[in-house]
Amino acid sequence: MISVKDLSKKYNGILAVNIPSLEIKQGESFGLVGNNGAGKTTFFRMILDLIRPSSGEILIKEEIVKGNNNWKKFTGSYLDEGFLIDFLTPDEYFEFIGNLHKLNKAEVDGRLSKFEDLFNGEIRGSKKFVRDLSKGNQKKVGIAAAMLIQPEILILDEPFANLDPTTQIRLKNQMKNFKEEYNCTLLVSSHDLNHVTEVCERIVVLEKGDVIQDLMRSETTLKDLEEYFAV
Amino acid sequence: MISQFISHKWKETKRSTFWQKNLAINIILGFFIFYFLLNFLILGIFIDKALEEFFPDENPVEVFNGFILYYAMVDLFMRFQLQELPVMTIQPYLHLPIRRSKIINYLLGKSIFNLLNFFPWLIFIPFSIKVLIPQYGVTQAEIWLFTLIFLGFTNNYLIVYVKRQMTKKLSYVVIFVLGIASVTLLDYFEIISLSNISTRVFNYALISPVPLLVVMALLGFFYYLNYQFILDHTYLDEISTKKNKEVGNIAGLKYFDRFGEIGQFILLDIKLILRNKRPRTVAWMTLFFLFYGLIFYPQEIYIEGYYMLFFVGTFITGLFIFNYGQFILGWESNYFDGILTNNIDPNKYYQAKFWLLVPISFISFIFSLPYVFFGWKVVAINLAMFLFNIGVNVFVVLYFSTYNNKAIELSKGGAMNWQGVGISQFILMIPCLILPMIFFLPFDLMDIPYYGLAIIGSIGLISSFFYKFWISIIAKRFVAEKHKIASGFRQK
Repeated sequence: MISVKDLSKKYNGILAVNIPSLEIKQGESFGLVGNNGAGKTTFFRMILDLIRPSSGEILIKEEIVKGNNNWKKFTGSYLDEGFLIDFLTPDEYFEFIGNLHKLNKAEVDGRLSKFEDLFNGEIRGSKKFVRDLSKGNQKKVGIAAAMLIQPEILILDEPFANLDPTTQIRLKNQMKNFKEEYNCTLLVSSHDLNHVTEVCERIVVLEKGDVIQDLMRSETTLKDLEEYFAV
Repeated sequence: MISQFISHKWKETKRSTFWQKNLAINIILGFFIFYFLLNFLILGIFIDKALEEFFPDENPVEVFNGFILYYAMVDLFMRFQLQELPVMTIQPYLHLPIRRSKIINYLLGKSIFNLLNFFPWLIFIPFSIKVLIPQYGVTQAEIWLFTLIFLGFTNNYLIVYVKRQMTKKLSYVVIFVLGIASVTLLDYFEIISLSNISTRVFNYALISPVPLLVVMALLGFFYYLNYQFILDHTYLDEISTKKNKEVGNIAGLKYFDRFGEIGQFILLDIKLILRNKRPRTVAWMTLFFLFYGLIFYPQEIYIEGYYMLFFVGTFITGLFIFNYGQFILGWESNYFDGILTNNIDPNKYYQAKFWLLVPISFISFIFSLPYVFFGWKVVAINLAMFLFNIGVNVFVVLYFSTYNNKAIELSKGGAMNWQGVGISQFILMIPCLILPMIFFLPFDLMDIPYYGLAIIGSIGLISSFFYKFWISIIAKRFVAEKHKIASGFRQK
């Protein structure tokens, strides 16, 4: 589904990301972990064609992402608040995103009904602008909008950060169900080893831009990771 | 402590990306300010001559004093429009062992250092030196001078207080506006005479210190009001000047659904304009500039010629294209990553921008039709400029918008706000203004100017039919530049 070839990104001569080769298969759930500055967000931004790689390329369904519009039709993503149109109400925002994917209002409403648990009654019908929502609620809006289009690829950066424990658990279930139902390819980055090992079958550890470990989930994955980060 | 605050403020300014990246803009801005200061100074030095000229039978000092209260009213009005609340990011200091009174005094003291407070000095000081000192002596002239200076400061704190109240209680603002309006009306209908009162009060200031003491008391009073207000509200949930406004519905918006994706983008832009301060200011400016013609059309030197009227016509019908269009991407800098990752075709995106700018330009042209009062020539020129705006200039502006990768904060005021302005904005104005003149020149020389106007209009009209072609070029450039633009927008 996603292939990475000789990818690198340099900032002022320092390698931020350096991935010679990486394949993510259709339906895989791919977890990216690493400390601050490991290059997780930079990597995701390059997949989404938001940053120009210094070398190499990324292909989605055998098509180079750079300068291409096709992958946007089936890729949902939420990295940060820079994805939210902050002067709209949540409903207006959902409607706008739905419109871009030719969904009418009823379809948008129908699909969002699945998010009621996650929203906890604070998002839909709200008369507040997105910019006036709390950080946690903004994140819910962004994630829901990314899932709204029922993407084949879903990319989320730190989805659990800023959320309360209840919401974290609800979101985790939401993601698992979503993945099962639509068999989408899921890319998640997180600092939280617990959550990420629970949601993802494949875990990749980045350190200073390099892939240090690439493991399939097993009984001992969480323990191994904790040991690795305990240094 | 205060010196610490000042050094923090200085660092904040100097290290802001705006300052660092925009040396050229700051130089131009500095030049403009210097130019204005110079103008005021010259006015100040020669104002007594001017007064003698216009009011030959009256004593210039009395005439000057008669104007002071009007100046104070205009000053209040200007400040109401322009003056920003003195804000300091107070939050990082509140939990530190610093007395609140210090923070507040600094915050309030800072608001004095506003150019609005110093411009008038350039008139008052020369006038007092040149005219008053010889007549009244140094002491009285200085008392008079300080009365005026403190009057300005009083206005300063009055406005700061009113503006602060604006975020809490609207009734104060209504009272303030009604107060100014009623005084203006009473004066207009000659029920009271501001100029008489003004003359009396400030003549009195030349022989007695009482007016100075009154003004100082007022100044102290307003300063105290501000101080107390801030002291009562230095809690995080109360500081924010931002109101959690409930969203009103915008009528008639369903209409845009008919235009599919492009309609959605236009709708998004309309919401952006209505719900954010800075683009709203741009919209108001557009309306305001419709009256731009009144400065030029009544004057014979301008109405006889053509080239100056080209400027006027270009701005009247196209100000929105220039002012809004040049930041067409910058407005969306907050969520630009979202624009790039969503299923958005760059061609349609830019077509939507075109269909936002053109109707507004057209409406401006329609509103400019009453200028026919100054002759059909004005309408002919404005029509030609309107067509040129929608056929040529709009594409130039949109093309250059891809050079602009400076983020814009939508919530900041627009007047005198240079954030996001780059050198490209100035360069792009040149072809937009010069090209019509070049097309026009040969016809002017052959003495058939209306053919020239027809040519300019036709070029615009014909070119506008090919908008899809022009936009495809712009979209290509957009795609090539988008990484650079996006990374610029991320650095706020």
